[in-house]
Amino acid sequence: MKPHRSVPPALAETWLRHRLAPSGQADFVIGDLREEYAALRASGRRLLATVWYCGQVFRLGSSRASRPLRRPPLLSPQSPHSGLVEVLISILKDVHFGFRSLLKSPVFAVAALLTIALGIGVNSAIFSMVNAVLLQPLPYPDANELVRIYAAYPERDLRRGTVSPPDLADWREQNSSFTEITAFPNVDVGGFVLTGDGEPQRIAAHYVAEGFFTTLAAAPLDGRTITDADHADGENRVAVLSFSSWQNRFGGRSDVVGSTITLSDTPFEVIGVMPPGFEYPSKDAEIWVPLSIIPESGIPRQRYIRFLAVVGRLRPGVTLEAAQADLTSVAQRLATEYPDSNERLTAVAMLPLQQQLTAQVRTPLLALLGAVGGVLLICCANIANLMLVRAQGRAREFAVRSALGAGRARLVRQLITESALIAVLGGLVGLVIGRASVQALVAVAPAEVPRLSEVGMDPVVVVVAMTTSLLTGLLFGLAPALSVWRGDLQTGLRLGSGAGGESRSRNRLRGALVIAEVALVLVLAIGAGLLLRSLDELLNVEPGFAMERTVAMRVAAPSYKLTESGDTERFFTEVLTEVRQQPGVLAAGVVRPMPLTPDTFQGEDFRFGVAGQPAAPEGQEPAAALRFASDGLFDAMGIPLVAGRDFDLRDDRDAGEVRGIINESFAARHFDGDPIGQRIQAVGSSFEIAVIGVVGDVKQSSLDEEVANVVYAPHKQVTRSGMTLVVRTRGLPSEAQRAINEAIWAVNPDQTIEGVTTLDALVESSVAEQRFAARLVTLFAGLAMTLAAIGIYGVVANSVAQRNREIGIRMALGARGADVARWVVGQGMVWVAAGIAIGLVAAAGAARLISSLLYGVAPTDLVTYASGAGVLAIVAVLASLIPARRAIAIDPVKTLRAD
Amino acid sequence: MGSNTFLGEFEHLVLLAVMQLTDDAHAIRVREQIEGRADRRVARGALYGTLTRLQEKGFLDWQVEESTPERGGIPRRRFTVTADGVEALRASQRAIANLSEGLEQALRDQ
Repeated sequence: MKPHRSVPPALAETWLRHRLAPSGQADFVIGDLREEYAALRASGRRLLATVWYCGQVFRLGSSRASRPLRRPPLLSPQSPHSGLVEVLISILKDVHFGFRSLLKSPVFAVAALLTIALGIGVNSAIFSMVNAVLLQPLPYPDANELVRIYAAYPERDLRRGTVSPPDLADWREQNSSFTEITAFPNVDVGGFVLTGDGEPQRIAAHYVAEGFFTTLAAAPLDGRTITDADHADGENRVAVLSFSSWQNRFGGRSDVVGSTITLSDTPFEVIGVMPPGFEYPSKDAEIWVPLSIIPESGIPRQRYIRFLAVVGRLRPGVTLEAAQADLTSVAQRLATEYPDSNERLTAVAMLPLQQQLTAQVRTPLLALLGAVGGVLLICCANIANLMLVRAQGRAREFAVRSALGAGRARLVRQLITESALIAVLGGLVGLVIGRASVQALVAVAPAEVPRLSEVGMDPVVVVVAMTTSLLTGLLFGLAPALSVWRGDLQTGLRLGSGAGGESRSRNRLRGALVIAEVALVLVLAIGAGLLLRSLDELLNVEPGFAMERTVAMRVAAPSYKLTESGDTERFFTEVLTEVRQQPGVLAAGVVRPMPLTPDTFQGEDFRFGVAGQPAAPEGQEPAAALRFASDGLFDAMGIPLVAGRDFDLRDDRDAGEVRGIINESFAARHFDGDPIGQRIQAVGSSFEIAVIGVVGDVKQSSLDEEVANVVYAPHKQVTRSGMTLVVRTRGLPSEAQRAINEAIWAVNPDQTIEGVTTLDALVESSVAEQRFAARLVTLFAGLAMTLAAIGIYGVVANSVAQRNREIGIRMALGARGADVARWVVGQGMVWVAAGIAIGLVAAAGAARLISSLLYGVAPTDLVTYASGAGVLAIVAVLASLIPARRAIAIDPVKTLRAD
Repeated sequence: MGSNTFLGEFEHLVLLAVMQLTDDAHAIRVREQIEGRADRRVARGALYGTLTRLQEKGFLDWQVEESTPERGGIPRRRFTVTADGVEALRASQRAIANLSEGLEQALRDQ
């Protein structure tokens, strides 16, 4: 056997040596252990050997049987160790003692451990999410240098404007704050149809400007990214694949770089593949191509045509404010130089990229973090109470130890070590719970949450969870420690254990715990109530269209096949004709953008005046949203026609004027009499719409929005290539879907049909985020309520146990069961009432923070507050009824005889 | 010492094991001996505690021996049963034998 260099865990050995020192046999025992350890190590199982060794050391150092090997604790000789070792040994001793005393009261240990594990578990789950989404830098090098840049119109108070290519070029040249600035179209320029292997598939493409990859400092996994040379002549059809499209569309083939693929009938050369996790500007990005391949005829590069979202990388050391000032002065120069197009664009606004990406989910996530934080505090209060009860049960132990010479500081240290021990163990179990919860959380989270794929337990989460856990331990260990510190230890000796004599300060402490718990639970319960009520309100909102037996799907005209002017209108007209001929179809139409979908950002807004009415002052003209619809759309969606007529065959390019149908709100706000026949004029252009009808209001971007002014223009007059086809069916939409698809394919065999959804599912998913937040907060509030009920029960039960004698006397003096019950419950209720009062005030503050998540319910909604308080009071009464029943059962004769 | 000669059962086993092992009576071997031949699980702490107690009673003695590489330079000890120890064993064995008289039938292995 080859000699094994196998030194057993040094700390364990040191400790054991210390424990066994007085007997003079330490060396022999340790030598034996080393020998056996070496044999075990030689068998190759290192971890097993270590665990075994520590177990043996622990048992030798502490078991009753090996006591002769150890010194009697009171006659301790001067320790042979010094300094750090001494400190370590004494901590180990505390830990060891803590372990033993926990093992002696397993119910307490398990209750405390599970409570803290629960608190840490839910917290680490939610914190994982907050960490990955809000805190972790974006997955690009020096991501804090990345900013979104917007054109701003200070006089109109618009700060999130897009940018035109010529302006972008000037920004690039004239600024001194950015190493690079890049852009991509902020509107859906349309994806591609990928043909080649098997069925045609639609692939989500992003056109990107020069420097897109270098600004983000994103390196390809394979091949190269798009360079400035690729942009040079607008003819370089090159493509960079995302990792997922490489895997899913091209089977992860290693020779994909350099191959040629066919996108919408055009060959593209694949030049690179990005690593997983690169998902800018959207998480469904599958392919990136040079923006320069869109010809002038497709999008004219004019200063007034602003369609770019801009991202820049700050020079190291340049602040956001400085950069903003820098670009604003550039913008002002451009405004003077090109007054026709840029007169009002006199400022630039910026947001750190990370903030811009996560702005939407910031409040809900922080609200959730607050909720689980509350749960954790309640866990703390419960454990503190458990510790208090325990400390009280140990009053005699402490009194004896103090009489034998243990200093207060020593006892306090012991208590704190014990709670730290529970905290660490609880934290570990909590991490396990957290890990499971994170997976569940990611599974139920709405898809709109950005960076969801990055959510997981990383070292940061673990460190934070363990730190929180330890701090929690100190926090709840402090309460009983304080009461030991201040308390009169000798009383404990005189009274014996647990025979009344509850100190006034300890009682106050316990009251404070109940008050704090109740207040916290009430805040959570009211928060949950408000979110639930607003979800309910939201679901009761009429979206303005009928949801039954109606299906929507995205159909993009195959622009690469449609070369003649008018082809796109003809394509949709043919599709509608074919679809309407299907037996299961009652009505069909196309619309853009589809209400209540993320597509609504594709809406095109304009400022207008009404012909014949006095014009609004410049810059304060009202705005209207332009939507595109076909004939039959209102019928298919069940949107009522209030006045005038629907679009029909007459409303095409030969009509001589653009005709529009407005919504009711528009009609009510801006037209005194009959709007039919009046003209809406866009400010600053010759665009004019003649009103031919009025339809009911439809919620556009979300159920909680206030309905804007909407004008529907006929798709045959104002054409867009990507539309949503809406079909109302006779039976279930799923039964008709096949026929609908066939009808579309009859017009274009390569046609991709995407995002098929029924309208009720669409409405449902538009509230997914609210539902997610409401559900989780409710879950946490329920958890908190349960914990608090346990807490109140514990406090009251303990107080009954402490006052056995008093209750006995009262009953001996003639108090009836009901009186005693009332008295016991009343005791706790004083605290509960105080907690409710504080909780109501705190809830009003907290509700203000989440007011942006609320709809149709005021942050100070009385009903919610009252019912929250009511439920909590009932729970509290129920929780204290159990110990009250025990109090009634007290036999006065027995209690009094015990004295 | 040596007069309070009642042996506990475990002490009894330990003494017997040490005698059996003669030259190889190290703690680890003693434990293996008891576990192997008496079919008893032996807690390490109990063994060391008992060895110490037996030494204090004067039934056991030990010699310090050279270390081995596995022990990292720490010496080990070899136990021997003292004359008192042998006497105590005899007394115990005798007591058992006396008490077992007439029970041979009942105590015989099936």
